[in-house]
Amino acid sequence: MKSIVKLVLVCVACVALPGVVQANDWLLKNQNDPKQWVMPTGNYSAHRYSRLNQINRGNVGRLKMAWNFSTGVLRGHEGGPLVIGSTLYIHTPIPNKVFALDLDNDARIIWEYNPVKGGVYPSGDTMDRVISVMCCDNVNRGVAYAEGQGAGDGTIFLHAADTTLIALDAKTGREKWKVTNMDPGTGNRGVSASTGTGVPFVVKDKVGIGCSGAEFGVRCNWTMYNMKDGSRAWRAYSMGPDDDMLVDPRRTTHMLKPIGRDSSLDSWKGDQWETGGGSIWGWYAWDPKADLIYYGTGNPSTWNPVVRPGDNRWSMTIMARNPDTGVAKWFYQMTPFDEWDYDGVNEMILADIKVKGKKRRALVHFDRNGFAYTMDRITGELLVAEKYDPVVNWATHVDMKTGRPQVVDRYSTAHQGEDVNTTGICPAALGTKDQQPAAYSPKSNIFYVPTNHVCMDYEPFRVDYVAGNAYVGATLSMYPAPGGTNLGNFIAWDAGEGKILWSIPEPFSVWSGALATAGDVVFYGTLEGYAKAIDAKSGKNLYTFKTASGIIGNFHTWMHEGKQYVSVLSGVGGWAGIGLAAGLTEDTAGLGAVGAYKALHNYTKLGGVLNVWSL
Amino acid sequence: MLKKWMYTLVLTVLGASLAYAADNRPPGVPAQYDDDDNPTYYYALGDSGNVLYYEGEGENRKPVYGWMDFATYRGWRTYHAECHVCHGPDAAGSTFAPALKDSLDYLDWEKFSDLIVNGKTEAQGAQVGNAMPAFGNNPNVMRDLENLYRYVRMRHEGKLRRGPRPPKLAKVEEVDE
Repeated sequence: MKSIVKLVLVCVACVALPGVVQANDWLLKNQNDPKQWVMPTGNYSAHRYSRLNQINRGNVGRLKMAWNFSTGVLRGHEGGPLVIGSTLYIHTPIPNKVFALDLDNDARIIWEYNPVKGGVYPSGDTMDRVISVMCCDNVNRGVAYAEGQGAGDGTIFLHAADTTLIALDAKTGREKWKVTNMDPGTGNRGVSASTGTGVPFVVKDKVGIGCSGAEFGVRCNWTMYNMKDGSRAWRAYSMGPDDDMLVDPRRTTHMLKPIGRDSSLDSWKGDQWETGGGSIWGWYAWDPKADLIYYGTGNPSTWNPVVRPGDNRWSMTIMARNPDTGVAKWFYQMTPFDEWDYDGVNEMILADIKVKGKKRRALVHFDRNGFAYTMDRITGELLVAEKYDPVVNWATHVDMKTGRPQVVDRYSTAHQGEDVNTTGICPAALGTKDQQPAAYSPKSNIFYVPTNHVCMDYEPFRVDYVAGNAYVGATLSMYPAPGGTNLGNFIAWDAGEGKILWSIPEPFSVWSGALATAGDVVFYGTLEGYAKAIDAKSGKNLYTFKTASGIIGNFHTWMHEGKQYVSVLSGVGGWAGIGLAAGLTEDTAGLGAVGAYKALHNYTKLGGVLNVWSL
Repeated sequence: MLKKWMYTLVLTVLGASLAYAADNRPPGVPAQYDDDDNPTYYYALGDSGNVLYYEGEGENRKPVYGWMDFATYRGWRTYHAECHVCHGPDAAGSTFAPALKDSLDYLDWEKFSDLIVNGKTEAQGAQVGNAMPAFGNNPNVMRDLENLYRYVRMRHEGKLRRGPRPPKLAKVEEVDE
């Protein structure tokens, strides 16, 4: 009887939703094949974990460089390669080239693609213009792959810096279609000076991209395109009228309660939401069972909080949306009324873990603001919110009833006011962690998190908005967190209890994505250029190798002809390279002061290389 | 045309012999120009507890206390809002763009201001794979164009330390003649 009812219900669903396509079989299936690395996050849960164990705790010390590949591009190299069958796809910073390398043939180049032709991007803007509105270096975080459901025999998706989404034939590199999402140019209020750095995200028959530009007064959005032809399926803005945000005021919830009508408009002064920021450029996840996609939104614009009173909804928010319609199921705003540039864009890791003794379908998020959040990913209930660096001081704690951080007046740049230098705020604007993604091992049940350990002074002041120009309005001075000289830590985190298990100090911010494996080994890279392998349980160092340049890319692993390979892009840059190249403080060593002066440019120089190791 | 005040670096050096108490900050001065009409900075020395710059090397390195003028402070502020995201903190350079404190070796006021107004492409000599934006239409930069030069010049000439906000003299309104 029960099964008949179920069957009837299923058929009702079939009739009611004739247009709904089945899940993307190819990616759902192949994300479980450890021989490949089919999406930037490893799998739809963003675990960055591999079941391969040929390289393991016992033998990782004997790792050797197998081969490497120069991208021919300077500037910061974030992200990492995809491995589909025996083809490896790797991207570069601006001009956003893509290379397909043949693993069967000593990594010979099958094809290469360059979206910039004659110095001009597909949007019609020059490369020079696009570079000039990149917030923090020319970075790009990688390409996505799809097969079937409109993507044919295989399509590579590239989100170029000029905001153009480009579909390439995976076999030949030929363009299938391209569509410019926003506008890197000038003159368009709330749109101009937008750029693209985040990965495309494939779900079923659609591919989605976010947008960057919160430092330029862009009102950002998440947009899904149909893979078949590049037509737009839906767009959801981070702020504005309900219709623009694709919310249902009665059903979309925040802290388990409906958000109500005009939830965003009521939280901004006047029309400031039109230039409100809320960029989306991190790493995304999809729970196919719940059929929800997850991403985070960035800072409200400008950096001067005094001029934009209100909660500035829904900047700084974790969003859960239906991938077919875009309608939001739940939001959680981590930093209402941001006063420090704590973007909420970092990766969303989906893990079925015990939270305070109870099994949960959880979402774990390490935010720029220094708190690590564990949510019920189905309902949006806040389960855990704890500091993952003890120096975090801008808020004492998160009130678990309201979800609000309890802000300390002394570190509130709005409370201190315009033209006042608020000092000693931890973390700095680059956060306790930026986009560099953490890894989760279902085997050890531990989250491995690359972090920054930097504090700041912040002084807001008044600026004018001109479409297409920077719109910042605050000064920053960053320095090492008090009591030490290390600018980073690599930590192990228990997301069920909200506790640091162990922490490895690093001289510089750890700006590379981590990788955990079934070989009980965890990999990460450092800004000086060291590739490191550590014991997944104890954190003990097992292997260190100095690459050609500082590492801000993410580690990946795959298997080819029976051999496991580990790879990472080196190529220093990004916000870390900009902030730390010359060091953070005056060299006062001669005065006998604590030697906090560390200049990254004494350790490493530019240049993109894909490094590949095997036993 | 702005009225030019007769404060010069000579006066600054004289000021060095005066010691002000922490609560005895000297009065502010208007924006300064050098003998060739180029924007320049001003500072007054005194034991405010605030380090303005360091002099000497190694064992002989010692802090010098004082205050910078408000116009140059505005340059510091605009630099750290608009320029540091590429050129790094304290005009000290980054992996992305050159150290402007050193660029003044070959950039005079005219070239410096022209670059900020009009930008520079790779073809015009920007770093490989890079470009300098044109800020000519950005009022937040243009209103502090001279002050940016004052600040970078002060860093170039070693009269301003790195790090958190430097101590400043009071604001003085400029008077049009």
